Amino acid sequence: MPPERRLLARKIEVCHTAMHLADLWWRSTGDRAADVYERQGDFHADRPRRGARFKLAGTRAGTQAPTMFSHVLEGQTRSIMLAVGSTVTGRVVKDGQPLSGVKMLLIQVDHLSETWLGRRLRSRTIKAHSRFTTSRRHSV
Amino acid sequence: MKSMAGRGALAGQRSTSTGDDTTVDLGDLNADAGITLSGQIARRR
Repeated sequence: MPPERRLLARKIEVCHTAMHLADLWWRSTGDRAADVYERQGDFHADRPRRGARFKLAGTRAGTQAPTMFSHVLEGQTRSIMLAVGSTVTGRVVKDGQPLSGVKMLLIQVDHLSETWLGRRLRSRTIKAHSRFTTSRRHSV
Repeated sequence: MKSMAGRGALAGQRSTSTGDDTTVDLGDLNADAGITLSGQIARRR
């Protein structure tokens, strides 16, 4: 287990439950619970709905995958552990020639409540050699 | 997607990651000719 290191993150979204067909999944309300962040990575969420879950994404370090967390109790401070996530790579070609300047989207198919992270996880423009890389969190 | 305009289309690729700190290589993704949808939007009379 690597040593715990505090990170500065950019935003935390508040999510709520929603029923979609037979699955229970989480939908972002679009509200930010907190624009973090102080020097030590601390954040504060004011009056979240009971049972709310939160999505933490966009760490400044840029090497961590987004994650969901819940069970936030009033007056309690807890640490959120982030993981590096996994990476998807590939190459876009046409007639055998690499294409550049293409934007790739990684879309999560699994909508289960415990793993849903949002519709669009990350896109990145391919700039050279048509090689792309994108990352996501494997599990919550 | 705008970035593929005039260059064909990519078929969706479905893959599953196997864990943190792992890499899934999709290999070469071939852009083929796509299809065009066209129509007309009209107000119901």
